[in-house]
Amino acid sequence: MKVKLIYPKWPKLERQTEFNLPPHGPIVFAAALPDYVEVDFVDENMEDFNYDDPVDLVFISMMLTTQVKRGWEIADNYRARGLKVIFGGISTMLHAEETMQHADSVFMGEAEGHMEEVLEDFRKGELKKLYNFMNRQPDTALIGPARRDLLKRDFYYHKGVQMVDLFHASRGCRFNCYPCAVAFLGGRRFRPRPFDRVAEELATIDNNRLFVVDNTLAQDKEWTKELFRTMIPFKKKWCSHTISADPEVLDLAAQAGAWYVYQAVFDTSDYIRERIKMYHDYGISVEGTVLLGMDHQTEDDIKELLDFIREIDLDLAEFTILVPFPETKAYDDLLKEGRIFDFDWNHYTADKVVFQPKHLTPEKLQELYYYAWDSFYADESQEQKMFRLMMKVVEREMEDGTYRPPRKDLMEKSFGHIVDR
Amino acid sequence: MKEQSKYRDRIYHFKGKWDVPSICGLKVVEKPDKTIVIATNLYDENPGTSISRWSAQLATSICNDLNIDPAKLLFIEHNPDVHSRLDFYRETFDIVTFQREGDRFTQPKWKRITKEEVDGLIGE
Repeated sequence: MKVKLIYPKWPKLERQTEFNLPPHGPIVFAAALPDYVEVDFVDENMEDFNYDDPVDLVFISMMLTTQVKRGWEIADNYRARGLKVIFGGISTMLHAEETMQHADSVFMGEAEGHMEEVLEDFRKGELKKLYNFMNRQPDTALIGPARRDLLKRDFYYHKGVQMVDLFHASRGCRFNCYPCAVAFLGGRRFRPRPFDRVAEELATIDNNRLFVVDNTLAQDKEWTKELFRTMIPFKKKWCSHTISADPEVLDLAAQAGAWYVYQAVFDTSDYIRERIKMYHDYGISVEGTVLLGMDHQTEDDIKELLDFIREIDLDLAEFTILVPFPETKAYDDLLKEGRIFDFDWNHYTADKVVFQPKHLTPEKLQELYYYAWDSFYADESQEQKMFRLMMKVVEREMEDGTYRPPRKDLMEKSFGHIVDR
Repeated sequence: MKEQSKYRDRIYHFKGKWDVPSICGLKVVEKPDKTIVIATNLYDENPGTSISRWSAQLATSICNDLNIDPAKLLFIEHNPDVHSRLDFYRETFDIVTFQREGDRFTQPKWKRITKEEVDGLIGE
């Protein structure tokens, strides 16, 4: 059986230097397909595809809300040609009812252990409109290793430098943060993968640099420490979301190759300042993630926050505007108050205002978003800061003998396109 | 969240969105002309759907399970203060009104009310 697995394109964050990482969700999903399925994977951010390629079935995997309208368009085209289309992935789950209007089937939940049933229904011509496995989360021992063999690797290089590979060691999140839908998507229970499976997958990844995409590495200290002990022999360098601010955990993280973490900077407290200092004390760099447009923020508050961000020695910062994604408390609150004025999912990019802020006009918030990017990077550009961050990892790789020089044959290309040098 | 609340007499179990098992706090106060139902979001204790996301279906389910006359229902959504460092989780109360389609509620609309107004309604 030949299937096409498509990851629809989406617009990138305005002001942020463009980069493209190899997709993770689709290749984790592909690992859950039976061996008899031949997969042709298309990352539409990187390449076009031909609707007339001969395939038996089409899967569309969507991660972001900004992918859904493009995903629906692709599905409509395929279905007009008489092909069956099945949607899955996390933004499919957030937009399931609408997606059903463009799908032969919508898959809710995690794929491991369930795809044989779906494909059997397809073979019999009895696909169901909805496969709801939200209450049947798989044993995490069934996960992966992800099908990185499906990636067209040369796309994910910038001037010869390979982008990080995405990797996950756990699912679910016991936290339930205001703007986040993970509690709905992956459940409120922390579900780690067995360490032998984690090690098995790490051994398959032909890349020294990873993005550990677990929702947070601050859910269970003992597990996190064991994860880092498992990772140490592989000598990977990696970025991740927040790590527990515990000396023993951070020491092991550094030994395991922690390169930088994404840390939410939500106020100007000593808590944030100390946390960032703590990461730096262990040689771990920090990219601050800063959400603008929360209800407590006035214009003065945002400017004070931006001043604070420039003081606390962040290595990088990423600014976004609050987006009320479905299945979050942010969505519930703003919907209840009638403050969401834009339901065009193409605008849910996190660089556009789609709701009425409490203390600002939408225009002022948009202006502050641009001001945030421009002021943080006024003295040193994103490219310069990223270069410095890159040099840190290169130094460490040289020390432990894992450094790979940029690929000469791709020096003239950035994400598959010829670049001026 | 574990503390007792005068707005919560029991835990109500319901099937949330996509049949996910879910819970909320529940208090029912009978008045001569109406039945006041206070549903409380339980945040960390709730493994499934929040009451805000499922209010119409939840109100329908509560009326069916507790034999409440839908015409007499006054549905109040309670979001308790969870003493978070962040201020998104301050205590709020909303009266939720619905359209009725046959035996079910649809199209919720929320109107913020104060704690004092809630106390006045339930006679505390």
